[in-house]
Amino acid sequence: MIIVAVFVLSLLLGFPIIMVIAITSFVYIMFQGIPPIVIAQRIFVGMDSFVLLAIPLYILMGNIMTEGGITKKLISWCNLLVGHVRGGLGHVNVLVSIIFAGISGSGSADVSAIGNILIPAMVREGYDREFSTAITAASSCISPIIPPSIIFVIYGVVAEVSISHMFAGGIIPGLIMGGLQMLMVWYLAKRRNYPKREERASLSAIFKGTREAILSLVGPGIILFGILGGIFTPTEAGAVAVVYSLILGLFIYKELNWSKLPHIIWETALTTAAAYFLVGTSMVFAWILAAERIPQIIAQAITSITNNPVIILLLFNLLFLIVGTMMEAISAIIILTPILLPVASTVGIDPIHLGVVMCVNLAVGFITPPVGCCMFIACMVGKITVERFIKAIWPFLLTNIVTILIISLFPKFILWPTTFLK
Amino acid sequence: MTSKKVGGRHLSKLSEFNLLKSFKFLKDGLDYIIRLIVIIIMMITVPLVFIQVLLRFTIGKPFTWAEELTRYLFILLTMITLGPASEAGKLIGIEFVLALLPEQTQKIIKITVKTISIILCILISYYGIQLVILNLKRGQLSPALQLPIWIPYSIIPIGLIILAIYNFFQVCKIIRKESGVEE
Repeated sequence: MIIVAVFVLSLLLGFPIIMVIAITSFVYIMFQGIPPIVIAQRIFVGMDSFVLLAIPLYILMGNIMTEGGITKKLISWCNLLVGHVRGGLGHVNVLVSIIFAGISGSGSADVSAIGNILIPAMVREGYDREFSTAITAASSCISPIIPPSIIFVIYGVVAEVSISHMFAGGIIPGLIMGGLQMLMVWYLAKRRNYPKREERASLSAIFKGTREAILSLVGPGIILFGILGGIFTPTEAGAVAVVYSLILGLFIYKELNWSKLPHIIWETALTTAAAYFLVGTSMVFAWILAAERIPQIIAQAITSITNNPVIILLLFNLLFLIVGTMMEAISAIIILTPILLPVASTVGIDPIHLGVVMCVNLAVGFITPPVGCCMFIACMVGKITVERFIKAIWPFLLTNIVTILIISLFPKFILWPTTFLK
Repeated sequence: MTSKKVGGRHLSKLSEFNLLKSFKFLKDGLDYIIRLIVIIIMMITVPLVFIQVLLRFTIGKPFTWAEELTRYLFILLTMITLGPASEAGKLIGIEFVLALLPEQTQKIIKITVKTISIILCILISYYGIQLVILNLKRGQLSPALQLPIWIPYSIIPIGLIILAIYNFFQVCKIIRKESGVEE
């Protein structure tokens, strides 16, 4: 009981999550009379994993991509394809995010890379700022769902499931989310009479455009098929993608130069340190939860009410959405997974299904107040206040929640692609 | 608390100035060294992982030591960057509850939180050092690199002490700002 009190109190006082976990663990270990040497050792063991290396590599790749000019090529290519539909640039925004998701592991890279180019372009064409910013933020939720994805890696490490299976599971949910967003864009564009490009691009123009963008398009392909085909491990794919985006940025598109690299590396290191150490401390946390049999107690409490996996998953969704609005995704995964995974296993929810659903929920939390990171970046890039943002974001929150419901009710969408993996 | 602050202000302006200056010097130096190490680590590890992939495709046999080395180097990178990451606001917690409180209370809570964090870092690194000593006596080697295992273990206390130092700088900053506002 004291442990729970310490945990909640330190959480509310605004301790960094790593400190919340450290304090709770420390108090617990002191009370139980366990040698405190264990903490340092568990933290080390928790971070000592080759899979985790994928995280800094994905962050690095995202940071290079943001600076490296790849986004521009992708945007003009997508504009050729869907620019002539009403609300064209809105569709472009979603489509670029889907492709960009195949090289980027997090939403924030997506928002700043795409938003910096597309929001001004959309405003120039006559879209309102709120809509332009909202669609940029909303479509960035796709980034952490379509592989590669940082939060999937974290879940895979904490839940001890295959990262490749998680990645395969994310593809269809990402596409569903993108598809529904495009439907919403189409509907809003009809009602508000958003502009479109007058003439449809000719086949030869599309062919020419594709040839120009091909190098940017090959990247996501290599990474996706490399991981899913079992050619690369997720970590190796990260390294390949970093080298690929460096070559494109430095030598081919020439938007990057060597003098920018130290800054990019430093930014990457700062984000990496926070995520890595969280995973380290999570091992201490998971160990205490297991020792105190907390997951079993919760499982018993839940199964005494209902045994229906669908209802339990829907309840989990509600929990994930609420937690996702208040807590950043990596911390949430680290705290929730060791508690809920045993519950899910007892009622027969597949760990991959749970993982993907959890991550999609938390990704939606990126664009909700009070702490959504993509929301803040988008508001900064789009130069609007959070209040104005909220008024424009709700149609897309709706489509995202529909996505969550679909993938919760039909696990096939997540699990079917994983059957192709060896 | 207030008496301490008043006492601090009674100190001669000159010595206070020197103290701050040496603090800043220490912090800038630490910042610089950490940045340098981080950049070197990234410059080694990223190409190394890439070369491993190439080697696996061409010769089919990557270096056995490389994986362990990259793992340890990234633990080193993480631990030494924790301090600067906390300064850059990357170590996030739930902050919006705190934001509801009046500003003065917020400051006091922030200082308390940082102070407890410092104590905790020192405590855990104390036990971390014991872990290092224990493994030093046992003389265990890491599986691939044949490195004495106490060396990678010692990264944990080093990193936590750096984090404690950075937290201490932050506390100083908050307190200094507060006394500045009062004047």
